[in-house]
Amino acid sequence: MTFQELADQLGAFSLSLTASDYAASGVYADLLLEQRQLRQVVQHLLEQEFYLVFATAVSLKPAACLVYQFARHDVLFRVNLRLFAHENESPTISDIFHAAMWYEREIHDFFGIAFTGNGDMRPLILSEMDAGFHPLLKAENVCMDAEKLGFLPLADEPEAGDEQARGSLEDA
Amino acid sequence: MSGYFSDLYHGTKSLLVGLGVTFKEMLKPTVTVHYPRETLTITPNYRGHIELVSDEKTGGSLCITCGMCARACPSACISIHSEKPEGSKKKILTGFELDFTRCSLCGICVESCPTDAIAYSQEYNLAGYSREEFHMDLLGRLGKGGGSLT
Amino acid sequence: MKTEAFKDESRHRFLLNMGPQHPATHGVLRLVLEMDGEYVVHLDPVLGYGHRMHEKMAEARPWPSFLPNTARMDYLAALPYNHGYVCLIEKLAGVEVPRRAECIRVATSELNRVASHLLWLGAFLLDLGAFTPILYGFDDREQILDILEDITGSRLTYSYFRVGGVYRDVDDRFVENTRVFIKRMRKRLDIYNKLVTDNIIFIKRTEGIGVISPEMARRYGVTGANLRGSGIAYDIRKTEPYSIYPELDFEIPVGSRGDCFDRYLVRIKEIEQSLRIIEQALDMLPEGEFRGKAPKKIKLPPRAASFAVEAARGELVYFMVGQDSDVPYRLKVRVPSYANLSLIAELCQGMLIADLVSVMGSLDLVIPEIDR
Ligand code: SF4
Ligand code: SF4
Repeated sequence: MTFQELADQLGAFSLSLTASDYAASGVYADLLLEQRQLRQVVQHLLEQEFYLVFATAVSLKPAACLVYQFARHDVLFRVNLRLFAHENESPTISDIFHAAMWYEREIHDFFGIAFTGNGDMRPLILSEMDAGFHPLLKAENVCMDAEKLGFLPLADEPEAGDEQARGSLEDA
Repeated sequence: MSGYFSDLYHGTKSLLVGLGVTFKEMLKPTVTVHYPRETLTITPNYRGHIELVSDEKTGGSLCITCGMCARACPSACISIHSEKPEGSKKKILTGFELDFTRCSLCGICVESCPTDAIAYSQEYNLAGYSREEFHMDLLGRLGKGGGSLT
Repeated sequence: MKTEAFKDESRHRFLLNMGPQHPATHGVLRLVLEMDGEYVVHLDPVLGYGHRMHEKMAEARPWPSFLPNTARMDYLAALPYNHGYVCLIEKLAGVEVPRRAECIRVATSELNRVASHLLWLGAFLLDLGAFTPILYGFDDREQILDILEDITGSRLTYSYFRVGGVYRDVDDRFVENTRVFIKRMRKRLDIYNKLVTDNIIFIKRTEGIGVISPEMARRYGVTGANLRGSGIAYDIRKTEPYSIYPELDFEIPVGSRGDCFDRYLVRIKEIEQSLRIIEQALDMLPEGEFRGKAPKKIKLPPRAASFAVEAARGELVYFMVGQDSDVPYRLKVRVPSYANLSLIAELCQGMLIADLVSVMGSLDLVIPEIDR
């Protein structure tokens, strides 16, 4: 699997994969998704024999950004998927990649993001007593803009909500 | 059935070979040390808790109270007290405390010191009855009855 | 046991609480087991007893101060953890590392890997009821710890690597001692093979138990020796080589069936390969600096970057987001045991509880690494 092959395959979903500078970012490709596209893409990656390296979140303005990193066993090819958890909600991928079950529960612990469709949202690392306490969620005054940290392309007129410009971002 | 007997044969043989190994080891000299009757010598490179280095000329500390070590320490276990005597330009060290209960023995403080005023000690037998025993007064330890800057 | 029997609700079941303080869980891990007699119907791991929130600590201090923390996640093989972290910073700041330092890093990391595998070997067999191997394993591991203590100054949580090199140079004594150890270890591997690999009781307790298929491994993101036991030759040292690994000549041992025995065999063979790597790294060891020049203040650029290394238990990834200061905005540590343990619920369904212990041991888990 090469970058071009995956880019072509994802092109069929009308998604444009962006090349990323491996030397600087550690991944070859990068894709900013909308929530409704996630499961479709992830299903495709499972069929193409990718595995989920990790899933995590970054607390940002206007919404926390979820980062999924995928890689392959046969060749060196790391891909980052990013999507914004608007309203602190995102679709689950734990039924596609079972590894995501624990990552999603952990993200729920640390960031308070709920995964719709994941039947098991019990705390994993934190305890039941910590309900409502999300240690990695940044306070308003220290929370950075997604654009500033390169998670969103610099938009001309920033708008909140689901309408994010997508695809044309270099992570590097 | 033949699988059963060959299992039996190879199995018994493997156990006997294993027993042979343990028997051979049994006759070898002991590898353990009967602590505390015997102790091992500690390598000179051992990183124990930090200690002030004494200045050979004055017998005092080499510390210039710059505070670099305290700032670099990840666990904030160093506190430095200094004062500026009247008429003197330089500050002098009046106290150097280490809260060893929080120290992770990382050595960042030693590396950050511009005058090499701190070093590792060789002490590894550290046990105590209370937490306070590990709030160490390093300047006092350096002095041990004289030579300090007081 | 047949899974149909599990669906029969009328059968008597009971809950069994294994851990948090159980020798076979290797750390404070609790397993809530629903049992049908001796068989595990359902298994639910409870984590978090050793949680220290390392990721939050990383956000609250300049990056150099986090270095000691990296050694404290997987305390059995701390050096690869140091390695990944310094490599990430070096990549972000464009710091050159002298060759001597790279050789030292690889040699010590591999020594650490051997030490970790030896401890795993002993603990695994202890779980299965064999007491002798852990004593031999500890004897050999002790030699490694002595060698590492002599150069790093500590025995477990090393914090030995620094950005731009290592903290202290090695001397001829290190090289000599290590060579002596390699010679000794080769002989000892023979003893382990006689004592354990061929042992009929051991074979009966591990063969065909806890089979991880390549497909299942992929779904759960299993890495390290657990994955290689399933026949996939995936090792970051080969696929995504860092440091001087591309120049080294070593093999990736793989299993074929993916059961406990294969995982065991892969690790034993890995010890052999690690010894080869150490030898080569020592042969290469050039004269020169052990710590290059690194800028005093490194500002982490405001973007995301990750770096992967092969830790003793599998793939370790540091994912960092900078914010144009020396304090990271976010640091995620992808620890190998996390994914390796997450499959246990599926893997152990319908298994005898004695086999569950064998599977847990063969996965080589370090629980504080999972809890972080
Ligand atoms: S060794 Fe590390 S933790 Fe201990 S005082 Fe020095 S800087 Fe602080
Ligand atoms: S860094 Fe050295 S000179 Fe500065 S305060 Fe610490 S011990 Fe004293």
